[in-house]
Amino acid sequence: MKQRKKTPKHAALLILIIISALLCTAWSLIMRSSLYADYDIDLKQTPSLVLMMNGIREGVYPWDAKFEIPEGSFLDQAKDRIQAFFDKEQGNTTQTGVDKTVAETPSEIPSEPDSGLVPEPMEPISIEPLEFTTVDDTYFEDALFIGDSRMVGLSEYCEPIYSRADFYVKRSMTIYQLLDGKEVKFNKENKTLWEVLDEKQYGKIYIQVGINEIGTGTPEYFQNAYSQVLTEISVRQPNAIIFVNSIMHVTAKKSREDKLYNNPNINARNAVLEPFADNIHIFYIDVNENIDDANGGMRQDYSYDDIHLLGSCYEPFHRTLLTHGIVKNE
Amino acid sequence: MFTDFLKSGLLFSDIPFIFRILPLFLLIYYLVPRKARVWISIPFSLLFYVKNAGEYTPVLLLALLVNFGLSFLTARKSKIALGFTIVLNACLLMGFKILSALGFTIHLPQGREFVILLPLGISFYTFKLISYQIDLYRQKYPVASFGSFAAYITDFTQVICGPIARYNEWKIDYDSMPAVRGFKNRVKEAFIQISEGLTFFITGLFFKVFIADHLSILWNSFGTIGYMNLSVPMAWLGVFVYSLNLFYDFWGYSLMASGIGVMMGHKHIRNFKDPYGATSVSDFYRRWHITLGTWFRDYIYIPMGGSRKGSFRTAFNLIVVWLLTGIWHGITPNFMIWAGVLLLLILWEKFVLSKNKVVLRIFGQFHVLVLIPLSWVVFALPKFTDLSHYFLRLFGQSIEGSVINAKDYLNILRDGWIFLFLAVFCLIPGVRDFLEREKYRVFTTILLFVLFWISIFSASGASLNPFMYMNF
Repeated sequence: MKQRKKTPKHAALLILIIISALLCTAWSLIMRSSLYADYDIDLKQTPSLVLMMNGIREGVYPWDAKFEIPEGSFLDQAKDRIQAFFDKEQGNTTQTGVDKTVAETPSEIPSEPDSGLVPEPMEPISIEPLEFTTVDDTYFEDALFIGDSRMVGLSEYCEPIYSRADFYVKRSMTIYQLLDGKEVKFNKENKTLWEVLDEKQYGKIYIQVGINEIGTGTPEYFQNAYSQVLTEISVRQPNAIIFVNSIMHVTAKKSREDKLYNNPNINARNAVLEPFADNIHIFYIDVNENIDDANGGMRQDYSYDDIHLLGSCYEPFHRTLLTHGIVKNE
Repeated sequence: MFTDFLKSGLLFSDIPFIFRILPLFLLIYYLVPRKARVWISIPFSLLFYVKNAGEYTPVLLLALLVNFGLSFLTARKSKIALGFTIVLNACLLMGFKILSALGFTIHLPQGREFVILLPLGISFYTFKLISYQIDLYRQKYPVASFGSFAAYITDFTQVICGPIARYNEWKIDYDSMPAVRGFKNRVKEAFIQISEGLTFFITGLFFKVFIADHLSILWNSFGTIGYMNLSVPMAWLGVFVYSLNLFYDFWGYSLMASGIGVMMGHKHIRNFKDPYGATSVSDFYRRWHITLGTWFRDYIYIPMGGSRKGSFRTAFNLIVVWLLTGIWHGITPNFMIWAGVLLLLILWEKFVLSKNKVVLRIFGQFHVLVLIPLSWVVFALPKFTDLSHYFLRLFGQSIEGSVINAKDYLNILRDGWIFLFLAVFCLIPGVRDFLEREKYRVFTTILLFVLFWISIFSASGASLNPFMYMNF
């Protein structure tokens, strides 16, 4: 190999990387309990700069950091005086801003919905629980399907449904993303679920998420988030029938081999979804009944990757939806 | 504690490896005197191997010790000793290939079972052992010291999936290098040497975690849909997605491995040289997995007479080489079909098309850009049903029970256009060489710095994605 004359300037790239890595590490450690408090990583296993990377992935940038000024400090007092001045001169606009934020990103949905969002109270048509009935494909003409990659499959390989219904679906979608108002491409535009629900009133809303959340929090934590999403859907779509779909199982093989994405964990999450059904407005559909084998897992011949249905195997899912229609007598 | 250590493998693209383990290793490596560095390398390499291969480490150690003992006999030009070592290493490799393919199980006390798997990297380290013994027999070098030999065989940059470096290429010739005295000069030496390797490493990391791993996600979606349900454009798109995925995965790995080697003071081992710029299948395989190709050339093809003993003998020699190439990759039918198809193409080029240079050039380009990518599909799909469905869909044949979304390929293009674009762009001959040639320019330094952090960002959000050639 031809020998070059090597000088320290040839180490510029290495020096740049060392300095930037040290800065990222230091910043991640300093901000660990504030800016990156939501990210839980084991620092014994993973370098701390992963906190910064995770933050950036979620839209939390290093420069978003805010330093708390100690109470009673000179700066604090000055800030209060300036704020008081503007409040007096222009009127307090802070409250308006907060309301707007909550409406766009309802990570904490108020127990009593905001008066601006609530439609006129409706007289209940019936308080008798309704029962499932078999319907035909025209039933899906006023339906919206919300969900993750399993619903993406339905939107691509179930012609009777995708030719009639709307789909607010995305691979890796989670209930937390829905709750936080993360945008998804819908009719060629990026929209939050709340924007989609505000634009059009649907007769039926099917929701199926949960597999991607298995590694996050407890079933109760998942249930709480799901509950908030359902509340918000109910508020924005008062006339829609909401179908909570069970989380689809994985194959028995996958379930045996995977410590996380297995059917006992899925069943634990399904167990907290089923009670949402009041059988008046919200209904629970066990989509696994036509998909499972005798082992209680997705049929092996229905899946290549043990998680998703093959494109040609959405018919059992479709059949389940057809036999689980709700028809209200108005 | 030890079982915790073995819980997961360790890849060059893992964040803890990049920011903790590699810097710590290099720090210790450069703190000790040059000639003692193999004694830092050996325990580190063994720990690296144990973490990835677990209970199969004794196989490597046994092969290492037996071969070291036999090397004294082969160095004395003993044909019997050489024959014995070759047969022994070949049997070790074939034995594990056959037993693992058959799912051979050892029944242990208390009803426990131990299923024989292919020890990680065995195809690579047995080939290094054989090349070492043959070159020793050919007196290319004297018997290595135990430290040097053990460091060569266990070298963590090569033990898992190559490159299959030769001992004389791998060995650092400290005697011919100017002495470095004083702490300051040693730090300077370390910084400059690590910087030399860093350009290879960063390019490889980018190829692996940004291009290959994202193409891998795209390719997995073909299986998820089901090969019988692919539209014709989707099936053809898949051919190129998988081909590019395999290329960038293996090229990325090879660059990272060689880059770490260069950081340690070894020479750069080139495993790929713009293969898709080749003009024929023969030319392609001179540029693809070069260390394996040259191994077969130097230890099988040329000793058998190469192309010097007439057409019939040349054809026979090629059949032997490609049969062994197929077996080396695996003894499943798809690898045999894959090797057989390539053999036929090479024979077709060598004995028919080569009579007219223009015809060879036109057909050769078609072979490289269309038939070789198609051959990778055979490589990718071990199940005959999947393979037959895929090829039926490639040519628009309908399969009973299939459901086809005619616009499925648009989803792949929408989700993966950036990765496909970058993959195709970096295929242009000389792109990687340009980065290497101009690596000390300010522009290149900034570009590599940006590529490094893009790769880290990408790797930090991904789950462990093993290198594809770890299966061999």
